[in-house]
This record gives sequence, C-alpha cells and structure tokens, in this order.
Amino acid sequence: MSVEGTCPVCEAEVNLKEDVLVSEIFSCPDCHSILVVDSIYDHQVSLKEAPAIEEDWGQ
Amino acid sequence: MTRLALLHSTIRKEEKLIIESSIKKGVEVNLIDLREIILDPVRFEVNFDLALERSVSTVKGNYAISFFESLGVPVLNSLKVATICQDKFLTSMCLLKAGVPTPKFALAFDLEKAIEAVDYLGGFPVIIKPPLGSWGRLLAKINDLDALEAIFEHKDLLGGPQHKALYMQEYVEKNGHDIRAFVIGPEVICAVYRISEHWITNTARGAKTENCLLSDELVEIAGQAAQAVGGGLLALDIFETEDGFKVNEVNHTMEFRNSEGPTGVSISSAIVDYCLRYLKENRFKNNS
Repeated sequence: MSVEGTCPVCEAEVNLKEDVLVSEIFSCPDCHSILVVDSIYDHQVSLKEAPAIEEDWGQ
Repeated sequence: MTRLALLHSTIRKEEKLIIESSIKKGVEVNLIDLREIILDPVRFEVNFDLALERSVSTVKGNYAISFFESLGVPVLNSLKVATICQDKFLTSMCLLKAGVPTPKFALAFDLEKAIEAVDYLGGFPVIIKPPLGSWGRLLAKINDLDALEAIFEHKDLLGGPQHKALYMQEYVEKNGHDIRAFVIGPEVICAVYRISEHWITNTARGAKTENCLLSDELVEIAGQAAQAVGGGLLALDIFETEDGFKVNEVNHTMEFRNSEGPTGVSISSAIVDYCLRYLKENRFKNNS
C-alpha cells in the first residue's frame, strides 16, 4: 500500500512507498520541486518544500 | 539487540540504505533528527549503544559528535576525524604529514600573499575552494591574475569569515575523471570513476559513475590516506595523474547512492558491519 500526499507547490497527488520517513526528501513527479516529508499519519503524508541548500551542507 | 542512533537532518537515499541494512542485520535504529533535539548533557537520555553521524549539515553534525562523545557514547566518525575531513586545509596538512601524495596547496589571507602562493603552486591555473565546503560548491578555477583579483575582492567584501581564508590548490589535469574510493575501517572496499566533461567531477554536479577496479597501488594509497586522517567511514577523492595517484579530499559523511550500483558493493551494509565491529572493539577496550 502506498502513502499519499499533495505537493504544496503544484498540488499534484504524490504517492510514496510505505517505508517513507519523516525528513525524507524527494522530487515532485509533476513540478520537480524538492519536497520533504513533514509528518505521516494513517497513510497520508504532509509535505512541504525542502529547505534551500545551506553553506555547510554536504558530505 | 544493538541499538544504533542515526544522527540526521534531511534524510537522503544513503540514510534509507543504512536503515534498510541495519534492519536486515537485526540492528535497532533510533532516528535522531538533530533539528528536533536539545543538546543538554544534564537532561539528554542516551538509549543507544553507538551513534552514526549522517547530518547533511556539517555544523550540526560536528556539534552532535562533540556532544555525544562527551557523554561517553562511541560516535562514527569521531570528532577528530570529522574535524579534519570537514576542512580541506587540515586534510591536506594531514595527508602531507603522513607522506600521502596530494596536490600542492597553500592558504593565504591576503591578495599579495595569494599571488605569491600561485608561484609556489606552479603558476596559473590554480583552484580556490572554501576550506569548509562540499558538493563542488564555490570552487573556482583561476586562470589568470585578473580572475584571482576578482575572486579575492568578491570573497573579501561578500563572504563570511571562512571565505577570508583562501585555500588554494595546484590545478591537476584530470582528463575527464577522478576516482572515489570507499574506505571502511582498514579496508578499501570499492571505488568508482566519476566522469564529467567539466573540470568539476562531483556527482552532485552531474558527474556519472563507473566501477573502478582496485589496483594494489590504489588500495595502498587510499588506505594510507584514510589512516592519515584517523580512519573510519571515509570516501576519498583521488586524482590519477602522470606522476601517480594524488589524494585530493577525504569525506566523512560520504554519499554513495551512485556507487553501489556500478561497484556491486553494498556500501551501506559495510557501514553497518563496521559500526557493529567498532562497538565490539570499543566495549572490549572499555572493559580491559
């Protein structure tokens, strides 16, 4: 069973795998905005735009 | 059951792979979002055996390592290793001290001194990098004096404190690729070529990866470089030059999503195995 949410940018319906985690990032399949999972409840995810890359980000 | 704390901020593909490998090995994973906790040594309750630092933010990761090490928790990578690897100048110094071949480098705070350093580096072009930086961000290939003056002025007027330190490196002709070697503890487990038409060969900037066979020479130099910075869970960026291999940088929160496929090696599994081994060895040390 997939987990569903709505892209906050283009309002596309987004289906994610069941093992999705809070704080996970991915691209919206429709508008390609980088999104982050804010919360998960009962197979519904709340999504928000991922934070912009900061100067100390990396590996 | 071993309890592993995964210290994270944004969760990337790599963290998912590590979680998946941990679960397969019967390791309990405690996800700790560093943005959601207070690093309070009095109130923080440690309910795990070892922390694996995987924060995409270097600053948050470093404070978290310091915090948990001070509470007596084993952390990978250690603060010593993270402190060296996050800073390109400190990394270069360690490599040089250990006799590991590395591109010529210099650090200057002043334009006149930077111009002098160019001579030492063999003349233009030279590369300027932020000492603390990643993903090929803000790298500059300086082809002449005009460009050096312009970059220096921009950094001087617009940059934060760390941009006042001008880390410079000789330009090495990479012929369209460099090597990323993965070193887990004492073992060089695999390597990939990072291929790009651009002189910047970070996968974050679009470089493609292909498997790189581990030659004896590559294993030796990668192993030496990893130990030079303290050893642990490391990914090394290596140039293949006419004079042999030169170690460019060492990464301590490695990204590997594009490398498991081409190499056929589960880097995430090797990371979890090393965590378990490290914990066992650490317990032994603590008990002896």
